[in-house]
Amino acid sequence: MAFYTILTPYLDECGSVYVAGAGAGGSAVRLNERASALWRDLAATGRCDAPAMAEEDRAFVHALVSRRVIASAEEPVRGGG
Amino acid sequence: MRIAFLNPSVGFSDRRKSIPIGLAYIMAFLESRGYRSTGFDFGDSTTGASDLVEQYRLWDHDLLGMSVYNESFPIALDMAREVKRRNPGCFVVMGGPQATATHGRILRDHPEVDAVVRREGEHPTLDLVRCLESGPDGLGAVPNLTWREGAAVQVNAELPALDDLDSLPFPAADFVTDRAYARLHFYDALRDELRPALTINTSRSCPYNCSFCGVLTIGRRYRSRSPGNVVEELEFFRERDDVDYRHVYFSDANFFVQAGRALEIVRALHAADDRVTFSFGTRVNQILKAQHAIMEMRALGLRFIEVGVESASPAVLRRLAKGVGPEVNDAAVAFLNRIGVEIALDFIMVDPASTVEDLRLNMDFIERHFLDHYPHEHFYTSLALYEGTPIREYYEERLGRPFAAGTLPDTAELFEHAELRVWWNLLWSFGSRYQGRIDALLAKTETLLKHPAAVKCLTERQGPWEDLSRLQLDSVTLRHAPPMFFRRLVDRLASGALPATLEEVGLRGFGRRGTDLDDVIASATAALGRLGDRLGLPPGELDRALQVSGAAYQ
Repeated sequence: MAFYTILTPYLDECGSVYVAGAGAGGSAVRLNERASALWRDLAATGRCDAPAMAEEDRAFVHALVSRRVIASAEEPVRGGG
Repeated sequence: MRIAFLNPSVGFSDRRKSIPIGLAYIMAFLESRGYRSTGFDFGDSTTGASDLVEQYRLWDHDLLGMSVYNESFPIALDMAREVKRRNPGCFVVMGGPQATATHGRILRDHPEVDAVVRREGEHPTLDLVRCLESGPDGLGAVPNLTWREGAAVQVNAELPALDDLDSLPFPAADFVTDRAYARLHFYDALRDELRPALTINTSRSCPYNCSFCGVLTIGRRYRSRSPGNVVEELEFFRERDDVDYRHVYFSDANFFVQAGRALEIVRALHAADDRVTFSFGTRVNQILKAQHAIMEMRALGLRFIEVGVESASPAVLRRLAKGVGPEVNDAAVAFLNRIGVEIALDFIMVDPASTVEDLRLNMDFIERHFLDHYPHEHFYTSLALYEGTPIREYYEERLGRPFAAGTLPDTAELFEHAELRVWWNLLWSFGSRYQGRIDALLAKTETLLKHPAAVKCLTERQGPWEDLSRLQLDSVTLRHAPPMFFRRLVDRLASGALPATLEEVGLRGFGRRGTDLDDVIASATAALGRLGDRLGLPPGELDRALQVSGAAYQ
């Protein structure tokens, strides 16, 4: 399991996720349906199970990292009782 | 003989004014036969008929020809009356689609009009000029002319439509106008470049039968110019105007009727100057039928196609006699999107018999293909019932009464369903409260975000990049806001509700924070002011950039 922090503002509207600054020339990018679903999952949990992912999903996450849209993070420390 | 041609006002200002090309062709043709004339273009004037006639001495001619559309017909009649009042000897002749469609009635009901030239005007007008020069007795021999002989209306025989369009001189004519022409440009988004542009017409008419189209009144036989003649026209106007025109707007009613013909023209254009880009209008079925030609054209400089989609509703498409179903619209739009050819949409959001289901289908289509770059003005469109078109007759039969002669019926008064009246009222309420502000803000935000200083911050994550990122997303929301609102409205209407106010439809839930639309507008406005300073832009620099990219909003 890998953990990530989202570094850029984003918008979830009209059925798609839009990520600011992630496209060519710093433009905003509209994610397709599959990528939007993956993003929402990542945003909700802060993690993704890379080994279990389809190849294209892993490539997408890799692209997000290389464009500095998301960054690897430490596993969050869970609060104890 | 003092000859003048006049383009009367349609009553509002057109954003991209260009010369009335039909009159320009007639004037150039007369000039080539030794008859000089003066052109007056008041097509977007808001000055009264009487003032224009007096100020420009329109009455002081022996022959005054007017090009008349449904929209300009009442003003054309006002001007004709003013001219006749001051100079009863001036021979007033009308032409164009409206005059052609209603020639007999014009002569019966309007003594201020002496004649109508039906269909295409070059040769009949020349014959008319020659006839009037030698006295009014020969009017019976002027082809295409409808005229008054005593109390009788005479309808002369017609010439066949001109086949050899290359035989016509280029439409080089100057017009006196009370609102200056802005130089025509094309904003090439691919190269982020504003290019001097020229309008060229390479064919006449269209062989299709769309029930709402005014071209039908002129005749359906499609005729074309040769590629060499079209290239000569570009070179002619470059030399005459001393302007390096580098985009051609083909203004044909339907440029792509014959793919081979269209290809030959753009190949010749490309061979003459490979910097020239171009655009044209056509139908969806033709795009699909000749995809290979579109692909080749893309490589030759095709930038956008004005696509006659009109509607996503099968019922409306049938009424409009488009001869295609919505699946053909979808396939053509998907094809153009796939190969990267921009689309300028021809769309008719509603007609008098439209239903909520028709609206829902239109909204689905817009969201499917155009959500992030939909030209919002299309939401505010409705079918125009031009005189002489089959769709006008269809609605006259459907309503069981004729529309008032010479008028263009107000669609809002013809809606058959109460939901559509609610749609129309709230559409325009939204338009007057928000659309102008959204358009102005979008033009500024999208220009600022393309500015090199902003791009550098965004790509290198430096300076105010987070503020710019939020503005980028606000800009996306501003583009979404009208379709989001109108989707809510359609959903409310479909559920049986008849909301009375914008608030009842819902103005919350927009943007990153899911707030009021007003908040998004306020946030983007504040960010624009802040970011101009933070990026160190000199005063006025954004306005200068806007003048360049602003062409994209025309």
